[in-house]
Amino acid sequence: MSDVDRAIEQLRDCKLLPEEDVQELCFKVQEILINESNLQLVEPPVTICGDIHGQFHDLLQLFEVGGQPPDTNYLFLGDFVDRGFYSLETFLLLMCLKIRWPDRMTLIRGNHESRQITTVYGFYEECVRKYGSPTVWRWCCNVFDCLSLGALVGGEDGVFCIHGGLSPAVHTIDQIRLLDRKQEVPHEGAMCDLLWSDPDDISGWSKSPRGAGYLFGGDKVSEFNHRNSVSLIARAHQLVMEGYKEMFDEQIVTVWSAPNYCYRCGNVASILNIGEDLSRSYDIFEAVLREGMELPAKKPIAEYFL
Amino acid sequence: MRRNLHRNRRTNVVMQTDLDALGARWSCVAAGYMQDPYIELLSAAQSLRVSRKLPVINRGTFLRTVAIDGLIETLAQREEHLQVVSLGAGSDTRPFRLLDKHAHLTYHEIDFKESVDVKSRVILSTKALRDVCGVSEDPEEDAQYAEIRGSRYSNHGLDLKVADGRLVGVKDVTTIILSECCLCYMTPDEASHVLKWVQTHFSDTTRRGIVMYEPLRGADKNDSFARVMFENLAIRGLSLLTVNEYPTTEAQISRLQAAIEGQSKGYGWSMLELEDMWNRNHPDRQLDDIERLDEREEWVLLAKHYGIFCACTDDERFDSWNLKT
Repeated sequence: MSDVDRAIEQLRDCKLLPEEDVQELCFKVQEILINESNLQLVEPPVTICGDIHGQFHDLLQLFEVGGQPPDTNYLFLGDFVDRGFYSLETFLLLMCLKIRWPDRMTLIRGNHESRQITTVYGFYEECVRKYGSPTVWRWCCNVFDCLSLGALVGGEDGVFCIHGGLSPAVHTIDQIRLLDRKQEVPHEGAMCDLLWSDPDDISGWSKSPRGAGYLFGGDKVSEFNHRNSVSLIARAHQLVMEGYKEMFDEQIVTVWSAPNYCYRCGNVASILNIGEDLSRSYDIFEAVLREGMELPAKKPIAEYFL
Repeated sequence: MRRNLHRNRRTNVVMQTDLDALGARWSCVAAGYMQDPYIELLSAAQSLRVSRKLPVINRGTFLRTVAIDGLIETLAQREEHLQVVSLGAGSDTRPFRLLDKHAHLTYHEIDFKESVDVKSRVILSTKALRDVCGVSEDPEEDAQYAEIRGSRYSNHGLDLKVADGRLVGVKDVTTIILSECCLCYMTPDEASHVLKWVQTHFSDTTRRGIVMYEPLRGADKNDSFARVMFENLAIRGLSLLTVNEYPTTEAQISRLQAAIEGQSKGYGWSMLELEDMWNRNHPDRQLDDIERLDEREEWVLLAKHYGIFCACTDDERFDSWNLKT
């Protein structure tokens, strides 16, 4: 049994790894990721997953529903960390699976895979709490910088996969291939937009209420899909109570994979199965019971205004 | 005996919620939303372990605080004598902030005896607070009393659920009755009793209003956010006992109007509406400029499930409560 297999086994029990093992894993996965292109080509069939946000037990449930790796070919659309209580276990497990089966596990970057965002939304604090210093957080952030920006599933009429959405600076998929991605997510420009934008019932482009990226309308989706010969944009980034939401004549879909988001929202989650023939089917799943979750008993699971 | 034990546990977990609210206000001040010269004093008195909260919690705490301040202050500016009676006041710093600013305001706070004890100690041991409350006596002599009887501020240690008789010092003048997440932890009957009991302090013609801040279930009785909220709070031993009785803004408003008795008016806003009003009224201080949310969806869910509800005697003095949504 290899070290990675052992690490996977330990992480599946929601147990943390020694700091030096984390360092080694981060280096290993960086070597793999850095050689991937900005836009990964993925052969169907593949199962596309949206935001996980540190909800480790729900990630295990996702594998139960979608099939265990490497039996199922997975594509994760980013936002592995922040908000949930188990961002470290979540990201480390995904990293190990990537190292073990690099061709069956595609990870692309979400807007939360960023130094700035993780200091506000929990991952930094979790690393300091669990390892006593920000060292592990720093290693993970270096891994974030190596993650691909998107993926293309199938050839002609395939699926364009991205965490957020479109950018007014990106007309063709080839333009994404030319970006210098190995950096912290910038505050503006193409790379920022791809990770931050949202579709909306408008026409053209509009300012995003998130303060980064844009809102884009159905017309922009049609133009992009037509120009680039893709049939669907699969993206994540927005909570959908029903788990997924297709828009604009099914030309774009939001896939959300964190059930009962933040242990508070009461939503279901979904994964999108793309068949060999590029057919779509969705699996819906709910949050797992909190049994076995190590939460400090007196701490509120989620905060409310009391 | 069993009954008593049960009641004590319920009382303790409800009292704990005061620390949540205090911690949220501390975070809101630390994040730069507002200033509160008294927050450190109260946090220290409760030995509160403070920490920064998520932006959604800060935004909600801020909106709730300024909205209630605003409802009181529009009247405090005009009334010759305005009295506030705050139910389940806990470690609220509002009395000190508002008494400081409004010379014709007097304030009564009611809470469990243990909460009142803590607050009284802070007030007696701090000259600035003694001054603002109008406590002139020497603190050494006063220290034996758990309740404060200042010229402008009094507090009363009692269990509201079984309150009767008259509160010492409450006058029959224009009054705002305030309940911030207090009545929601009582049964509908207990909550009605409290509202009825407070009214007994006033004659029918006295101008009075009720301001209440509470969670909302919404019209759908299977609302999934609300269901998870009940489950999560139940883990802490907290039950929201009135939410199914008054699930919507409309139901909350008519409940309060019924409590006022006689001719009344009612208003209510979800936190989402309060956010929109703030941003429209403060073009130079947009909430996103104070602290940006990285996503709207979770906030919208949360903000739809809390609101401020008011009822008042039908009197033009209260017209300022008719905020434009």
